[in-house]
Amino acid sequence: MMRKKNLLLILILIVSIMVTGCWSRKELNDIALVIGLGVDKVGDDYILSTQVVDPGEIASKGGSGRVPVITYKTRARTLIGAVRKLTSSTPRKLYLSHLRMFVIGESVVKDGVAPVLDFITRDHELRSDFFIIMTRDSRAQDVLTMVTPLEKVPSTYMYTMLNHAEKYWTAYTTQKIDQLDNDIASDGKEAVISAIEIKGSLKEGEQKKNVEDIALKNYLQYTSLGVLHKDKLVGYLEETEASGYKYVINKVKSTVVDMPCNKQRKDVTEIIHSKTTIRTRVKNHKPSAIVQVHAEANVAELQCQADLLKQNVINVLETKTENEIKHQIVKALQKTQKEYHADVFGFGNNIHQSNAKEWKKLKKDWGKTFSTMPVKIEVKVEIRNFGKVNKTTPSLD
Amino acid sequence: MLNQQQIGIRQFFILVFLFTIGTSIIVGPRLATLTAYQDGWISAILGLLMGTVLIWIYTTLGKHFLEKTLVEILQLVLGKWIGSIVSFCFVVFLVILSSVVLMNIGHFISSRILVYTPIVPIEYMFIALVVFGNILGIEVLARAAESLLPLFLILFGLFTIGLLPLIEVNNIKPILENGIYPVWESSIRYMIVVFGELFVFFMIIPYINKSKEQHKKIKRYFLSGAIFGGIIILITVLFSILILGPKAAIWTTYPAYALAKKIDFAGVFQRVEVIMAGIWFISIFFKLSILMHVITSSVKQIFHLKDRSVVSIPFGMLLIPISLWFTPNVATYLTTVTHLMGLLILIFMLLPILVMGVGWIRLRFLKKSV
Repeated sequence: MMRKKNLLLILILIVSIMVTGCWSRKELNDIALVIGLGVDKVGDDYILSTQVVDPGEIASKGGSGRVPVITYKTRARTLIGAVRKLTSSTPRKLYLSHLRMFVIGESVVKDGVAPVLDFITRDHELRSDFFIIMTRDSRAQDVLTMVTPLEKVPSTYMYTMLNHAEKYWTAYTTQKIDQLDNDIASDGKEAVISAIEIKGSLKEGEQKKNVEDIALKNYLQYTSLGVLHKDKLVGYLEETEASGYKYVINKVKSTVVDMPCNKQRKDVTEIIHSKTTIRTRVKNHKPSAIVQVHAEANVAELQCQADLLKQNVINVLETKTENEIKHQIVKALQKTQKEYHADVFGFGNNIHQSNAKEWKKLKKDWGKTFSTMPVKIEVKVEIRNFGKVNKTTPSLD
Repeated sequence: MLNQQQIGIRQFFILVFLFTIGTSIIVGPRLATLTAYQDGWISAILGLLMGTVLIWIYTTLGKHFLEKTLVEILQLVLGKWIGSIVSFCFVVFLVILSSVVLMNIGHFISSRILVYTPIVPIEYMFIALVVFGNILGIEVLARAAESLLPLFLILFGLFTIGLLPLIEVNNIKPILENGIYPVWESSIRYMIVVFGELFVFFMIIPYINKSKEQHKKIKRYFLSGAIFGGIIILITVLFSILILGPKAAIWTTYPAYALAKKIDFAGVFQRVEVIMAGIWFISIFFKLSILMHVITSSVKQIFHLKDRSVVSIPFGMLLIPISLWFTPNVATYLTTVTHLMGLLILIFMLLPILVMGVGWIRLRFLKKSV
C-alpha cells in the first residue's frame, strides 16, 4: 500500500515536471528581441519603427557580416496595433522586455506625447528601465536606421552614450517612463526629454559603409533638451542652458567648466561634486526662489600661466567658476521663464511642498507666475585639488 | 469540540502575521493613498493604531471564551437557531471574502506574469493546493507557515534593502495638505480591510495547545502578530509613496510589484520582481488557507458534521465561479467590490465584539455559566 502511494507520488512529480511551463512559453527562436522603439506621426497615423536584434550576428563567434539589427516600420492608428501588425512582415513575434531606447519623433512631441506613453506604461512586457529620448530635426525612424561604430546595436549605442553623457558631461538627462509620467501629470513641474540629432547625411549613415572609415562622417549626437508644457513640445534648451538646468535640479554628477583667462585662452575646472538646494518663499502671494549651488572642483587645465600655490590664484579660479555656473543657470532661467513659460525646475512642486496653502491659489496660472518669479542664484565653489603639478606646466617664467 | 489537532502559540503568531499581510500588501498602498495622497503613510500609521485597539478589544473579550469557537459562542449567546443562522451568514461572508482573495492572486498572475494563460487554471492550481492543505488540517498548515516564514522574511528583507536607495523624501511633502479629514477617511478604510478580517482567528484559537501560562500569551501573540504584519504593510505603503509617488501609487494596480521592478543593485541584482512576488504568494496562500479552514470548520459545527474535510473540496470548487462572477475584472474590484467588502467586513468585525460583550456581561453579572 505504502509503496503504491509512493509510486503514485513519484509519477505525479514526473508528470508535473513534464507539463510545466508549456502554456505561455516563448522559445528564444520564436521571438524577436526589440531593443529600440521609435514613434513618428504622419497625419493621424503613427509610424512605429522597431529595432530588432539579429542574435546570430551579435554572437562573438560567427556572424556573416550582416548588420546585427533590423529596423522594421509599420504604419497604424495605434501603437499596439502597429506592434501586432508587424507580425505580417517579420517571422518572429516582437518581445519588448529588453527594450533599451524609446525614441519619440519630434512630430509626436509637438502633437502631444501622452497618447504614446499610455501604451508604454500599460503593456505588461515593457519594464521601466529604458531611456526615453526625442529626435530633433529628424524622424525617429531615421535615428533608428543609423549604423553606429563601437557598439553593434545602435540602441545600446544611444543608451550608453546618454548614460555617459549624463555622468561626465552633464548637459543631457536620462529620462525614464515613471519619471516622465509623474512630471507630465504634475502641476508644478514640466518635463524635459533629451533630444538627439543626426549629424551628417542620413543616406550615408544608413549604410554599413558608414562605420568602415576611421573618421566618422555621419553620426548621432545629443544636442539639446526638449522642453514640454504638459505633454507638448514648446522649445529646446541648448547645451549651455541644459547644463544650467542640470545644476538647478541637482543632477550634476561631474562636468567641466571653462572660463577665459585672456583673450584666446581658457582655464578649466572640473566639478567633482555638486549639491543644489532650492528654497522658495511666498510673500504677499508673490513667489520667489533662491537657488544655492555648492560645488567642489579640481583644476583640470590651465592654458594661461599661473602659480597655484598662491591663494589669490585659487580664489580667482573659484570666483570665475562660480560666475560661469551662475551664467549657465541664468541662461537656462531666461529661456524657460521668458520664452517657454515652462517650469522645468519644479519650483512649483517646491512651493507645493513647503507652502501648500499658497500653492492652491498659485497653481492655476503657474506658467505665467513662474515667468515673472524672481530667482536668486548663489553659487559657492571650492577648489580641492589641482592634479599632478602645482603650476602651469611647463612653466614659462 | 477539540480535535486532536493542535498548534503551538508561536505557530499561531506566524499565522496571524501572514494573514494580516495577506492581500493587504497588494491593496494596502492604494487604500491608504486613495483620499490621503501623499499623507497615505499617516493613514497607515493611524490604521495600524486603530487596528491594534481593535485586536486589543477582541483579545480582552475573547479571553473568557478561549475554549470555544466563534460559531459556538454565537450559538451560546444567541440561542441555537438564531446563532446557527448568524453563523451561516458568517460562512457566506467568508466565502465571498475568500473569493475576493482568490481573485486578487488570480488576476495578479494572469495580468502580470502568465498573460496568455486564462485565469481559471491559475485559480484551480492555487485552490488545489489550498484544499490539499485544508484536508491535512491546521497543524500541517501551521508547520508549513513556520517553515516558509524564513523565506518570506528573506524576500521581504531583500525587497526593503533593494528599495532603500530609491527613496525620494520630497514625495511625502506637503504634509497634511488638505487637512486631517481625507487622512481619516483613508485610515478607517485601511484599518477595516487590513485588520477587520482578523476576527476569523476566533475559529482558530481553540486549536491552540493550552497550558495555564499560555492563556495569557494568546493575547500578546495575537496582538504582536497583527502589529508586525501591520508594520510590513506600513513599509510597503511608505515605499509606494516615497518611490512611486502618491499619484502613481494610486494609478498603479499593483504598487508592490511596480516597486519590485525597480530593484537594481549595481546592474547585477535586477529583474527580480517575479521572485519578489513570492512575498505575496506566500502570504495570500496562508490567508486563503486559513479562511478555508475557518469556513469548513464553521460548516462542520453548524451542521454537526463528523468530518471537516468532507466539505473542503466542494467549497474549494465553489470559490472559483464565485470569484469570477463577483469580480469579473480589476476595475470592479477596485471600485464596487472594495466598498462592498469594506461594509461587509465592518459589519462582521463588529459582530464578535457585540456577541462576546453580551456573553461577558451574562457571565459577569448574571453569574450564568456560558
